[in-house]
Amino acid sequence: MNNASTPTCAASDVPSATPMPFTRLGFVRGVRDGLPLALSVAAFGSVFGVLANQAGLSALEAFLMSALVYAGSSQVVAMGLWHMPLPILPILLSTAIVNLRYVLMGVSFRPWLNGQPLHRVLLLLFTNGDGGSALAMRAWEAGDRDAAYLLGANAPSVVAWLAATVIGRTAGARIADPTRWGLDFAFTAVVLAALVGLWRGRASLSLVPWLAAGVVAFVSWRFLGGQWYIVLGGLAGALAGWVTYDR
Amino acid sequence: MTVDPTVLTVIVGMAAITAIARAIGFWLFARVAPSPRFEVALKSMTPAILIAVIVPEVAHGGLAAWLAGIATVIAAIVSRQLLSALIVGVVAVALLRVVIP
Repeated sequence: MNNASTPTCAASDVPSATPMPFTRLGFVRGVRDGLPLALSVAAFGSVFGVLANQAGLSALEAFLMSALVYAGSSQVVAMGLWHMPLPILPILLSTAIVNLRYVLMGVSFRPWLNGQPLHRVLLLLFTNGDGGSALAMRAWEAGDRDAAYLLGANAPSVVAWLAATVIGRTAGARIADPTRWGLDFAFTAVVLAALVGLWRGRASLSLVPWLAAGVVAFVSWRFLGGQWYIVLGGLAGALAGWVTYDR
Repeated sequence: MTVDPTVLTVIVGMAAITAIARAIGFWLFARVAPSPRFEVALKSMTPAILIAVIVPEVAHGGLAAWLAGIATVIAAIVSRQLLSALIVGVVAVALLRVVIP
């Protein structure tokens, strides 16, 4: 099997053909690097908890979503759509679209996790998040040879995400009038802040897809009704990224 | 502590879709790497859907929400931190609503 064309292999240190070891020490190294990450994950998790409370999820439902889905952005987007009766199809479709980037993460893990047993790969993939995978990629490319590093890097975030969800949901329920304190704006504020983090500069990479998403979403929200503007906006962004690609 | 059956179904559905996304890249693209163009298209989707989600709020949020939104973006650029940007935005909108009816 040849993975030489995968982007991660472009780094100076190419993964070897033999499977990486999976040790306790590697896990501990990952935890050490992943701990600061857990702080921002906890902040995001408590925000999700507050939004889940506003959307009407019980503490147990919010916890179950954080534990089973474990993908923050898609959970926040779902809270934006969470009105009774639940628009099931738009929720599921936007979950798929937001989480398509995990497909790419799986692709980039392939050369590094080749030869690992199935149960271990599943464990690594299902506890994975944006921050932990970035840490692991950096560590592996810098020469760390341990698959358990990835699990360790993600472990503090998993704990933080679950705990913060419950704390945010419980704290949110104690605030009597969310609008008075501006908390109804929390959703928009989170999304705006997340977008700032995703901005990659005007050179086609962000500008055209973002504009396309905004225009298509606005037109379909205004004239189509329902919740389809979200899915259509996402697809328009992807299409614009495809069309404007020029390298 | 209740779980609504419909809510549980949607949560499980979201979990299943996310699980497939997590696993599919590792196995499906094991032999054929996706083209860089396809990668850009996939990567464009996450910000695109986040933009789409806030379209109604942008469209009829009013002046207070607009100004608070600008404050949130500035705070996010300066602090590079989700939580501080969020606090700035929420406090700004609460104050602005008092000033701007």
